[in-house]
Amino acid sequence: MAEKPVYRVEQIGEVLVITMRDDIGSFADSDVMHQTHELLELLAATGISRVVIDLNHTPYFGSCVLESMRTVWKATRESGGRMVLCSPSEVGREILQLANFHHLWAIHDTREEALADVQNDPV
Amino acid sequence: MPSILIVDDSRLDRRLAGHLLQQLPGKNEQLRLHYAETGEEALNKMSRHLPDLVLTDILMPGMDGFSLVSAVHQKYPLVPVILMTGQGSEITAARALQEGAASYVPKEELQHELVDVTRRVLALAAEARSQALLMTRLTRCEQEFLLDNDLALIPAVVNYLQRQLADLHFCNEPNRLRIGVALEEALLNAYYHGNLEVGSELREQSHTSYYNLARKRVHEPPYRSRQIRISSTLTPEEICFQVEDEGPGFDPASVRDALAEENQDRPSGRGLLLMRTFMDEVSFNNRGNQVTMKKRRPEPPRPESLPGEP
Repeated sequence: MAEKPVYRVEQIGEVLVITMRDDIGSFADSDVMHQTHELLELLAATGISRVVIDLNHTPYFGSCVLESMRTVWKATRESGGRMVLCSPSEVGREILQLANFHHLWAIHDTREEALADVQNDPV
Repeated sequence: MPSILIVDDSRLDRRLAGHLLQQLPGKNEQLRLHYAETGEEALNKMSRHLPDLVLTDILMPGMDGFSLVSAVHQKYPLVPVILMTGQGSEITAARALQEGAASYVPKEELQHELVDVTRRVLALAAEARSQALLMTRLTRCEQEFLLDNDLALIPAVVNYLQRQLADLHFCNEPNRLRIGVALEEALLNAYYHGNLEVGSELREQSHTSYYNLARKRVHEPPYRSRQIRISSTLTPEEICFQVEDEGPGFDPASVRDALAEENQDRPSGRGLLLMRTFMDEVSFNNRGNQVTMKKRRPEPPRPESLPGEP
């Protein structure tokens, strides 16, 4: 049986936009990480190295989702690209700051701002 | 004696709504109507006297009806708001409900629907207020679950306990989410590191190996028969969770500091960091297989702030 997708993935120009589901907390960590590795395969296959992670629908997340984002970021960095985030909730932003990831990733209020940031960045 | 605040910048519409609502009270009942021309004025009036219900127009100068719904929902969650919508737009109605409106009435249907809708919403709100009032009198609530080492049960128990915090008006939504994050991390620690004894070092090498080992051990003795005990004790002052696994335990001092620069690239330590940040107290027993987490109630229950209360 096919796994329920943890993320929705769209390609906008040369950018991959990954939108997390609102119920990501109900997924097993192993499923989240398994699908994260599938995302890495997709990035490698398409040659895309600019990524936006859209957290608009995700009220909160824990260490597994942080690890998933770190894994994607590492892959984009290794291929000379960039990953930015957008639309975290108040608690989501707090979690990113706690993990010190706000120093590594730009966090935008809207998807449009995030897209403009990565699209205009000469990676 | 229900009290209703009618908000509309049109004097005519305010009076029409007020006139229709005069049919609301039963025999020996009185209705108190208050009026405001703008959202700002409505909030100002509410800060002095809480009505049982707010009836508002959408289009007003300054703060519109949607913003008013959202502000009332945030600040006075027990006061329902009914929106009067123009042109019967479904999108407008959907947005109103999304913002937290209790219901809506198309303006052209006011005459036929307003009284019934208001009566229904007032009845539901009275019930919610009684519940909320009762919960302010709760002195202790204890629960305990004994979970098989089953991942599917973890979000279920976290959601259940979060919902209970909401029902008991323990804290606001962001705090509820923070408690949920801490609880989930504690349960995942108990599952992976405690009962299955799968170490973080393996995850640092390979996610796949880490989760494969966990999947394998779920079916193997002695791991497969281990359980997680979770208890919660709620008092007016605090909520206390205890999560205990049946593994050999660990030394919390040995967990890497997730904030240290050299550990930024490692996946471990963040769960404990989230638990310690989002809860007021986190402590482990000597064996290291039981964590106790406490969160003090951010806002003490205030029955006097409930509408309709003396």
